[in-house]
This record gives sequence, structure tokens and C-alpha cells, in this order.
Amino acid sequence: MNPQQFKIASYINNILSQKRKSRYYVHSTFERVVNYTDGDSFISITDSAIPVTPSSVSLNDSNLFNLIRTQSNSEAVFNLSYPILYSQETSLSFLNSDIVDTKIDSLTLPSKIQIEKFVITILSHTRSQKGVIQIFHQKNDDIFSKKFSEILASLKENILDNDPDRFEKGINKLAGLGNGLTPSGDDFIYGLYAAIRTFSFKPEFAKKIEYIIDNGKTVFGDISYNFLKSLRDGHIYIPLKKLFRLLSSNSGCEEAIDDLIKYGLTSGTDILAGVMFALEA
Amino acid sequence: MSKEYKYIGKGVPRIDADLKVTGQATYVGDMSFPGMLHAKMLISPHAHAKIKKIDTSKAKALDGVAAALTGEDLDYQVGLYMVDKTILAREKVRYHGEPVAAVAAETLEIAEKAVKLIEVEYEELKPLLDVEEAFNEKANLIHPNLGSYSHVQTAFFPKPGTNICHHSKIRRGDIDKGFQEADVIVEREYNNPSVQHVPMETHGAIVQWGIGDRVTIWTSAQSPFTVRNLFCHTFKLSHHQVRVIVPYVGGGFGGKAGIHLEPLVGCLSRATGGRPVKLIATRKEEYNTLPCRCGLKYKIKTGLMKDGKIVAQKLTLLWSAGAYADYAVNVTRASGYSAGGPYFYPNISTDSYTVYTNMVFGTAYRGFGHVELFWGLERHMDYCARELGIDPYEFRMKNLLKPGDITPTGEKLKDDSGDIRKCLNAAAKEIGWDGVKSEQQRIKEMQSGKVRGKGFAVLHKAPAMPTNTSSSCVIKMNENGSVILNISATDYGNGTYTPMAQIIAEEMDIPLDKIHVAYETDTDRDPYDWQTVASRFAPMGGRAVINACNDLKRKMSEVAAKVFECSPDDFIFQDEKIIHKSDPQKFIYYDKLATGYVYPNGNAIGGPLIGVGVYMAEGLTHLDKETGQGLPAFNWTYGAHAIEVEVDVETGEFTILKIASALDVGKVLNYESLKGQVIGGIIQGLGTAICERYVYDNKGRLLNNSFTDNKIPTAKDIPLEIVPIFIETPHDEGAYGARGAAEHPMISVAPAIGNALRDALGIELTEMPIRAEDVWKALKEKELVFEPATV
Repeated sequence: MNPQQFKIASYINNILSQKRKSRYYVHSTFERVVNYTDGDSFISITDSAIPVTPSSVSLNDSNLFNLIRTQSNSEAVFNLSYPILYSQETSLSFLNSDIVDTKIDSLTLPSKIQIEKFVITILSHTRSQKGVIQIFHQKNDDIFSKKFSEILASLKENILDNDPDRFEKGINKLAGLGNGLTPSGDDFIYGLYAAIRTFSFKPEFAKKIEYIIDNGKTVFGDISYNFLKSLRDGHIYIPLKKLFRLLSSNSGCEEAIDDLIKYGLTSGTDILAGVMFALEA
Repeated sequence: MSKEYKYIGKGVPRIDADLKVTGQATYVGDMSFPGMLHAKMLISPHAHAKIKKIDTSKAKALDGVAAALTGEDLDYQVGLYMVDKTILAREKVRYHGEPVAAVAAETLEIAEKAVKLIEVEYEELKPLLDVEEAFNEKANLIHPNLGSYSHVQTAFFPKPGTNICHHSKIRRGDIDKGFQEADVIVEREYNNPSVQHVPMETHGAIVQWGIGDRVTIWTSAQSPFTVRNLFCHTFKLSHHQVRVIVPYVGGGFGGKAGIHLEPLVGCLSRATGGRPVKLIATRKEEYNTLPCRCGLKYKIKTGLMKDGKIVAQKLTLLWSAGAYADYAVNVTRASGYSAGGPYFYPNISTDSYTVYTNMVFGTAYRGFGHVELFWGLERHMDYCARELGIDPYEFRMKNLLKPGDITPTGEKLKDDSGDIRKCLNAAAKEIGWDGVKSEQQRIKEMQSGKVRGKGFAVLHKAPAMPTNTSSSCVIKMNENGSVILNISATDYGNGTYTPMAQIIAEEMDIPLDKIHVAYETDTDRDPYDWQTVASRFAPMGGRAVINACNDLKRKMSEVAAKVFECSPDDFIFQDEKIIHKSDPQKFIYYDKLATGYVYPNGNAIGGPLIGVGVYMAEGLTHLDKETGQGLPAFNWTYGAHAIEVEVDVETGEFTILKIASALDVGKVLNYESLKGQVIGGIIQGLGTAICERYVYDNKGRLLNNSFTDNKIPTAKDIPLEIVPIFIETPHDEGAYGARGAAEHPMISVAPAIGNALRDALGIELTEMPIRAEDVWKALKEKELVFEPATV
């Protein structure tokens, strides 16, 4: 984020702080995202490369936009060349959101051949992507990837050994692992759990993840916790639902994979990694 | 208000009951002829093997052996819809139990000893025991010559170079669009094993291949004319050369619908110079060698809107035919066009495949694929309802077919098509359905050690039959005004003949004790009938009987008109008299017309009275190969079963407290007989639901070919309360509005139990049978089982 953008972001932060009568602090900073928190809620300021995410509401679509425009008394904010995203309370409910669907499909597990094709497609579309997916490209040269890699190897063994208890411990290690509002570990768990739910397999493992989600308010990132909770309650991220349907009907998944990749900085690919891991296991 | 009948609808006792309970009824096993020989088969110990060598010399040398045959001696192809079978295995065996040789000897003991002396050298081949594996286009071929087999080309579509001997398709609407529009998609797999028909009387035949190739066959079969037709095709004989006689039959349930032992026994008779030869299958052979019910693996994918409407349904059914196609191809076809059940689908796609496997071959079985199909379909509908958070009763009511709706094959339902809603309503009401049990309630009940649950399942079925299916009959009036009915439908325990007698009584106003329905159907002497299968005889055969009565009455009227010098239209038939409508003093007793009316001066007119009646279902069509569009159904019988179970949470044992069976039968012809069908059907349905199945080892050997290991229901399994409910929406074509109801009572029993167990315990079972241990296991795993969230 360039100094000018950062300045604007800080300006908005000030306005919001006035509104909420509390101070926002920088929570985390990424190449294209700065996240602020006042302890109860988050604001993410992003540049135009980051599309609208499930955990955010675009100012352009919210009343907040009017609020900012009014209070700033200036068109400058409105004319920003990049979107400003605002996430609501951390206890945000996705119930009435148009980015999640209130019905999770219940599909049968695709055939081995279909899964193989799917994995190849994901890998070919994510070569340049960052996040957990790099491990599947055999790139685990940083500390984060190494840590992730070890946990995933262990999780795979637990599934093959049909050992839900040890699997639960592995998932606990993944929860909250990574940076940002939706750490990669959380997104990975989202993908993994969504696949298990939709394809109705490994129920004993799903039960373990559910237990962790139910008790995971302090373990997961604040936004991802709500996102996972909404999935637990039967609300699934629509692009992921679309992807599962295509996979189940043996249709081409390229477009759907690309749509998912666009979600967040690495969130989409992290979710995809979770899905891929679940289906391969 | 419906018309009051004197005989129709009444609970008239079965007309054959006395003979059966006193043991006077004669079955094939009771028969003996001078010079008769006894036959025994040698069966394959392998599921798939090349026959390298067979040596019968030692058997032939045994004193008392008249003939010993192998496949090499019999170069004939047999088959019903797909001519894919030899009389004895040639070159290779395709299932454990397939006959490879047979002996005819002076006594059964000698024959049994002789088959043990036959030496066979096999080279084992890898058997295909999984229908999905066999379905794979790269799988080894069980019938490499599939492309050369002759078959009924208008209805069956084999795929040479694969193990698929038939592929039936239904396409209606735009399935992809339907799924795109769906708010939620629900998909699940279901599985049914093969089971045995278990008739009390096993298969048996006596054949005498006489001089001039005149063949007489006494057989325990459901369809004498089918046996004759296929026998003639196999041996290239003219139909007038072959006579098939079917005496009393001790049950069939579809297993005796086609042709089975008759060609082999015929060949043994011919090999002995025309001596009659008798072959009665043992119970082990009944399981192992004679056909069973096909196995089925299937996937159902449903697109649903949040308001509960079904917008798309895709079904993929893999029928395990076993080693030979027999009836399996037609089961595949019928279940294919019926696969959606009694629901409306704007978009549907069905692919139903018959796949050869190295297991006992499948044939018709009561329900003709629908028992297997509805197990998954009705479990699935409950699953869909639950996924949507809608009461399963309401969910069904939203989607059930009604007059004006179009079925998956393009048939528009009419007001006389039957009322599925009434059936479901009546059945659910009978068990006091008041909504699904909550988890809290379930937990509370579980603490007492016993949990109750309620469930229901709907059904439909139409007779699966050729477009030219027909029945005919002859009514002969005797000198005293009594009548004899000759029909070729076999009453193999289904009670068909009693309502036929009631129809004559009603139409002619003759007391029942003066009506005799001739048992022992005989193709030489009785008129043609297609087959006694498919729950079609009461409505269709009944129409033939009505037509025969009308023919008889017409002939009587013509004579009486001459006597009273009036019009033949001036008469009514009452109290065994033909009476002038406007002058009741003018009448003639039937017996005075039976062999011709004699005037006081001795002149005679008329002659022996014979009424002939035929009935054919007109307007049916073949189904389009690519879309399945057409009119395959004479009528649909709708119904529903509702069940209340009580489960012991410690052991998984469950008791069926009550079962209600509501069927729209159009018109009850005989209440007691129909009630018997319902009770029998429910118990057979229970067998398939709770205990019966074929178990094979990994070499394809059937492990449970006896009653010791393959359990059928006993008295202790019978529900505490069975409530038959009959809805009467008359069908325009059926006799008195009747529809068939012989198979239907067993069709949706299993899913109703599955749904009731789900209600009781929250467990999900997708595979039949449901044994106590399956319930226990599922219950133990339930703690870990993921419970889908609902909104």
C-alpha cells in the first residue's frame, strides 16, 4: 500500500473511530491489505486487486459509504481508485448475507478419476499463488510452510489410520495458524470441513472439527471463526458450493477454481487446499 | 355412490382352499408316470472358470443310468429377452451353481450317485463380483459374444464389448438447468443385495419327448404359454408339437415366470428314447442354480428448492444381472421408467443398466425391481425433506403426482389414474404421524432403553409387459347351468381364480358353488394368456372374463329371443334365469339353454353354450431408445406404507408395532383375498428389509444357500398389528375399476422401516437388509456421526 493510500486509510479509520467512539489499531498489514481492530470489530482497507470477500462488505454497498461521504464532506473518498472494505462486528452473522448459501448440498464422493482431474486443475491454476497451496506444489522452504507441511503429513496419517482423536489434535494445531483476519490454517480447515460435509464422508472426523469450531472462538481468527461457524450452521460460501456441484457432475471446474482463488489474498487458495486435501485423503 | 354388488368386493373364501389344506391338490412333485426316470444336475463349484474337460463315462457305466449329458451335447441357446444362455454350461461356467452336466436314472439315488462320478476339469478365471467393477468398460467380458446374441430389439439395447446387456434411458426437461436452479442438491448411494424367492415348492418339471417330436411338459411354472414359446424357439419346434401342463403350483413370486429346467429335462427325455424324466430342484439348487432377485447399486441426485419443490432428479441404477440376462433386462427397463416414483419432476434423467456379473442370475421377483428401487428412493425423499428442514409428509405432499401431471415417460395422468395422496394420508393417519422426533425427545426416550419411531414410504408400480399383452378365456355352461372357466393364468398361490369366479357370479348371477375354475392349465386345451406376472391378471384377465360372460349372455339372448319372439336386447339375467325385461313371467332357466333349448314339441335350437372372452391393453407404445418417451403402462397402482417401530437401544433389536398399508386398488374384488395379499406382501417385504440376502465369498461362491444361513421371516417377525387400507379410485380399463395389487404390498415396506428407524434413533441406513446388528452398530457409531444442520 502506498503512502497516499495508507493516508486515506488512516483518515477513514479516524472517521470510523469517531463513529464508534473507540480507537482502531493496526491488527495486521499485508502487501495490499491493512486490517484495523478496536477489539470488537475489524476494518480492512485494501487496494483494488483484492475483490470483495465473504468477510467484508464493500463501502459502495453499505450505508457506511454514505456515512463516510457525509462526514468527510468530500468526494475524495468516494473517488478512491480502490475499494474500501469494511467488515462488521466480529460476531457477524452470515445468515442474511448474499455470499453464503443457507443450504449445503449433500453429494456423493466423486470417483478417483474425477478427484485426480480436479487436483491437476487446481495445481495448474495455483502455481503462482501463495499460502498453503505452495506445499502441494512441493514448495515448503519457509518456516510457515514447513510447519504446515508437518501438520498436514500427520493429519493424512491420522485419516489413513482412522484415528479421529489424533486428527483432532492436528486440526487444533492448524487453527489460527497464519496471519490476518482469516489465517491460512482457518481457511484450510474451512475447505476441509466443507468437503467432508458436502460429500458426507469421514463423519467421525467432521465431528471432531465441529467440536473445535464450537469451542474455537479464541482459537480461530475472529472473522474466520464466524465464517467457520456459519458453515457449521449449514451456510456455505456460494463459490465453493458451485465448485462442489461441478465436481460432483464431472463438469469442468476451471472457472469455479479461478473464482475461488480470487477470494482474499490467499484465502481462496487455502480453502482449495483444504478441499483437495480432504478429497485426496 | 358406488354400485352395490352381490358378489364383487365380498370376502369370499378361496375356492382352492379345501384341496390345498387337505393335501389333495396335486403338484409336479406328486406326479409319477410309468417308466419315469429321475434327473440330477452336476453344478459348478466355481463362479467363473473354463471347462477344460468333462468325462461322463463312469456315470454312464453305472447301473440304472439311462442318460448323461454335458453342454457339448446340447448346442442350443435359450433366453427370454436376450438369448444368452445354454442349457448346460459350454466351454465355461459363469456362476457358482451353474449346471454343467445332468443324469437321468431309474431312481433319484442312482442319479445322485452318478453325477458324483462325472469328472470335470476347470481352469479358474477371475470372477466379477462387484457390479461397479463389471460396469467398467475395461472389465473382463463375461459374455464376449454379446453382440451376436439375438434379443428383443424394440425394448433392449445391449452394448457389445462391455458387460452391459441393456441400457435404459429416460430424459425429460433440462436436467442441467434444473440442477443449476436448485437451492440445494442432495445425493446419496443405496444398495440392495440379491435375495431368493423362496417358494414353498421348488422348481420342478417332468418332460416326455415323444414320438414325432411331440413333447409334453408338466411344470411348476407361472406362464405355460411362455414356457411353450421359448421351448419351441430353443428347439425349433412348431408350437402345436409342444404341450405344457401346469398343475397346482406352490408359489412363484416371479421366479417361475420364465423357462428354467424344462429344456434340460426335455433333452434328457429325448436322450432316453422318450421316457418321461422328472427333475425337482433341491432347496440348495433353488438358491444356487435357479434364479434369484437381482442386486442393485444406485445413486440418486436431487435438486431442491428451499420451499420443498423438486426441480431435478438424476438416477443411475446398476442392476447386477448375474451370469445371464433372463428377466433382469426387463427389470432394468421397468425400474428405469418407474424410477422417479410417484413424484412430479420438471427435469429428470435416468440411466438404468443391466450388468453381467459372475453371480447367480437374476429374474423377475415380486415387485419387479420396485422393492429395490423404492428402498433408496423413499429413504432419499426423507433425507431430502430433512435437509430442507421440512416435515417428510409435507415434502411428499408438495411433490406427489396428481391428475394432469406428466410422468417421466410423457404420460399425462388422468382422473382415473389413482390417488397417491389419499394413500399417504390414510397410512400416515393410521400410525398417528405428528412430525419428526426432536433430538431432545429422542435422548429422553433413549434413557428408558426403548425408543419408538414412525416412518412412511409411498410406492407406485405399473405392470411391466409387452405392448400386445393379452388374456383370453372360455366359459362353458354345463347341463345343469353350472359353468367351468378355462383360463391360462396360473393360480400359483396368489388367489387369482376366486375373484374370477366372483366375476362370473356377478355377471351371470349364478351362485359361486356352481362355478368351477379349471386348475391344471394346459396349452393344448386352454386359450392363450401372456403370463401370470406383473399384478395384471385381476384387472386384465378379469376383463376377459367379463367379455366371456357377455359373449355367453349374447348367445343365450339370441336363443331366448327366438323362443319369446322378441329382441335379444329385451332380457336381463337374474337368479340363473334369463328374464324378459317388461314381462318377468317370460323366463328360461339357464340349464334349459345350456346344451340347446328344446321346445315342447321336441324341436331344439341353440346348442352348447360357450362364452369366449379376450382382452388386450391397447394404446401402449415402445419407449424411445434415447429419451424413454412413450406409454409403457396399462395402469399405475399407488400406495403407501406407514410403520411404527420400537427399538431396544441396548441390542438394536426392533419390533414393528404397527404397519398400515394403503393401496389405491381401484376396486376391491375380493376383500379377504386382497387382505391376504397385503399381509403376505408385507411379510415378504419384511424379509427383504430385515434379514434376507445372498452372501458370496471373494471367489464368488454362494455361502448361504440354505434356510440355516439365509434367514426368512418367521412368526416372531410378524408385526403386532397390520392394517390394510383400500382406496377405491376406479380405473376405466380394469375389471370393475380394479387395479393390480399383488406386488405392491411389499414394495415400500423396507424404506418405511428405514425411515421409522431414522425417526427413532437418528441413524442413517442405506443398505438392505437392516438387521438388529446393523441398527446396533449404527447406534454405536451415532455419537460420531455428523448430523446435518437445519435452518
